[in-house]
Amino acid sequence: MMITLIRTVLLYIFVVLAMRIMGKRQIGELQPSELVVTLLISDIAAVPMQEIGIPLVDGIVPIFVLVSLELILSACMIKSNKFRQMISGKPVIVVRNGKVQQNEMRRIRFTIEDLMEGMRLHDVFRLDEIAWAIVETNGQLSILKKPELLQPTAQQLNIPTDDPGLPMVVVSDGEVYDEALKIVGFDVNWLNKTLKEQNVKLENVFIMTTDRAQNFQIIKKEAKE
Amino acid sequence: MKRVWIAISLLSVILTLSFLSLYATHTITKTMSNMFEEAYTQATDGNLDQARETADDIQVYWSKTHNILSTYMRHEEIEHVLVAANSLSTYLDQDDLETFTEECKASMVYLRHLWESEQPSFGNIL
Repeated sequence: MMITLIRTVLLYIFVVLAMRIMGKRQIGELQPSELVVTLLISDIAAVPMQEIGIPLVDGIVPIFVLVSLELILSACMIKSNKFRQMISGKPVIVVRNGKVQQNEMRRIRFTIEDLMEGMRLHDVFRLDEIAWAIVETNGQLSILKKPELLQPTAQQLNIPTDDPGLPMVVVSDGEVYDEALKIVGFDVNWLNKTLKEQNVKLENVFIMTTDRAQNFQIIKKEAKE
Repeated sequence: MKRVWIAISLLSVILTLSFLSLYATHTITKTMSNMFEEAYTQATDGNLDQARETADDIQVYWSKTHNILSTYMRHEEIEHVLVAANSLSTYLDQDDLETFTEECKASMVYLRHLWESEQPSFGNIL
């Protein structure tokens, strides 16, 4: 029992480390090879976790070999376009100039239901609204609406805009994020002054966000029930 | 690029450890096999005192080295040698020479199998 516990903790640490080395990606954004590696890692880790007769190394070595190969494969894909296409495939146009490409859809086994679902996720509900629809290599659908249906931008309407920058979380659960403060161009003195003006104590702040234009928002901690 | 270097370093470490494990398996199985053969010869020649000394040496050597093998070999695979190494002296104590020599022979075969099963040969890989 104790052995299983220790082995599980160790394997968990190694799997987290391996995933950390692989980098950040959402499941839906995984390329086919990355998805395969992720599934294999979970499967490989499970075996020595349950079978104490199998050396831990039998689980750890394949995990790190797979991660290393995946990283090297990714590097090769960055260097060579041809290699990338060979491993990940090419994006496929399924709607071209408003016309559904039935042969292409059949070739990649992309059903009309998949297309309709992808459209709905992009707030598009009619096929005749689409100019281009592309199935990306990770299986996601990209859609470009017909020009007459696109929303005009502030630039197109000649509306002047100011850029207040990215709003950052500068306090979370009473803890000051110095790095975030630096990004928005402020310091702890500004933070203390602002909190004093708002009559809020730092330890009572649940979350505080601000941008470069000092558009800040403070949410106080709620009393525990 | 940093991640690629991590990957290359990881693969290098794993490759080195794999070679080291092969070397350790070869050394341990060969030494153990020689000791079992020595014990077998001594027992069949009637040198029971020497055979007992060798059996003790086998036990000591195995207790020192079996932890190395169990880090990368399935534990059930090395169990046979573990049992044999620990029971040889008992057979001599009981004057059971026949079982002693049989156990020595079987262990030699098993150790050869252990070494062969670890080699990256075509048959093992497939």
